[in-house]
Amino acid sequence: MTKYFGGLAAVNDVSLSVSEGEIVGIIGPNGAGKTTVFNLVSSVYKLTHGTVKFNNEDITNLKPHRVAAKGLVRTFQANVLFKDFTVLENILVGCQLQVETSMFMDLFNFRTVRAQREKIHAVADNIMEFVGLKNYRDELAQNLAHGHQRMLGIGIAMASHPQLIMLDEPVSGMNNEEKSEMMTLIRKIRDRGITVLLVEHDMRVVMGLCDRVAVLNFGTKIAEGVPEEIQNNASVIEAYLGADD
Amino acid sequence: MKNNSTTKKVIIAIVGLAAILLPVFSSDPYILHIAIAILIWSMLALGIRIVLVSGHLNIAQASFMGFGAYASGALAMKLGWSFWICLPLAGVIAAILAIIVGLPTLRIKGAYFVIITLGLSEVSRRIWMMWDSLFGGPQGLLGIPPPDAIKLGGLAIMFNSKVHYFYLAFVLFVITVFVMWRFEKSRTGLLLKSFPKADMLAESSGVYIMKYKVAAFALGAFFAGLAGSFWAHYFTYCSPWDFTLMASFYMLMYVVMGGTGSIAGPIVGSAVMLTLDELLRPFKEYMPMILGVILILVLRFMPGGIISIPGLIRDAVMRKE
Repeated sequence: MTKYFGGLAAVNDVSLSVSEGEIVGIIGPNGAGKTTVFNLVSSVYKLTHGTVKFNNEDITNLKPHRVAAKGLVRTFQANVLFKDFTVLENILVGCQLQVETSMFMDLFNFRTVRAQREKIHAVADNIMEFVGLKNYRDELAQNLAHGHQRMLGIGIAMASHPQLIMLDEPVSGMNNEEKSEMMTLIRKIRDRGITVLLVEHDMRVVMGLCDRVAVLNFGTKIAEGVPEEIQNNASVIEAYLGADD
Repeated sequence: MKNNSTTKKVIIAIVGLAAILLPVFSSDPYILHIAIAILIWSMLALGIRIVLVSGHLNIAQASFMGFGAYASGALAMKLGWSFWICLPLAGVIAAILAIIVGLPTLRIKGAYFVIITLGLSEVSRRIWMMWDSLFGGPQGLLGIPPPDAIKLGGLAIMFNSKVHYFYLAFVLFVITVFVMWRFEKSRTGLLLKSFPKADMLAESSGVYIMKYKVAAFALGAFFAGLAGSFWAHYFTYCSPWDFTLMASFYMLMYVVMGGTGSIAGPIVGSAVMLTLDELLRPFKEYMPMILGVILILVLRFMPGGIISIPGLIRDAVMRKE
């Protein structure tokens, strides 16, 4: 896939495939185009060239909410949350793909509407338990600690029951304890059969977590392989540390 | 928490009962007229608020009211249709217009959407002015028939006094409040409130934002259309000068004055401001100025609006103790 912003190729001819049940990391120096890749896959930006396929279905340039409906969701880099909603309300917004009644029906207190509300709340409870925020159910998102806010971001994404989840820098700004909690959570997500694609700067986390790693630099993919290969790849070392004269 | 909601219910019951019984206490047409105005303008203000909740400021609410009024008036006059058919049709027509306008424009955020609704209110005024044959040009529509009598068995309710209009307005008002309340309490309300905060996040959770925004816009317009239809048949007259940008500004002011945080806000805002408007009638020329000063004071000292006063007093008392 390729993306031009004006004349600048932010992502140039990068191709990447992720198989079911994998944890794949994308790394690279700042400005390498990692987040742009996410934005292209989730259709926040439109592709200049190329295609995005998911389960053998072409989802290139589909509207973002349609991409999510296909089972492909993402989190955002900063703590993008509904800050003055409670934790529960945040998760409920994430649950919307499981809602079956129409907006019009919701105006009335039909049995189906009530049954659905119970079902959705059960899903939300389950998610809060999963990301470890059950005790913060009625706390406003903005009052949570940084680490918990990131967990909530993942909770919102998980609430739509995705097949593939894209995590944008899940451990940024975290202390070591929070980092290992997050790593445990990401493994738990994979154990639920959900494929994980993540962008991360923290090498310890990437190397410890990922089955495969792709390295971007200046919008092109310079390497891909299992973590050990990447750690010893000359061009990767060059991209990070500069060329050895 | 529980206590709070019982208090609320009691207040709603008392106010509702007082409203229902108003014509018993006073058959003064002047008082009844003000009461009718409060009910109708509350409907319009509530329509502005529900769009505001989703992060958009609509200053063309008077235009939707106008389209309802003109649609209803023209259908009744040219085709001789009964008010009871024209009324819901006026709402539907206003809602369809809102969908047509909203689909391309509700993607636009912030000031740009406001400018578009500003344009809409000017365009709609022009349409009514220029289209003589249908809308009567600058004089408007004269001689719109009042609602036909409702026949219940042997009993016929004729619309020949303000009391009847009052009860009709009251019914429309109650329907509006009920629908708005359910709409906001349902998941749709939660979603609407989420959009101004992080619409990308909602979208990436699979929520088709436009669907909800357009629905809120159309709902607000629907009740504006009903209000317009009522207004036209109540006065038996409507003209382009009734549905100006200024009228929209007044509705918006009622919302802001009352408080945007809840459904009660726009209702309280309309009631207080319209009453004030009558009390200060001797100073009519200075009215916009007085209202402007009050608006600034409210925004400065109680951004939650008039309905936040009890809470503010409670806080002040608590602090003293």
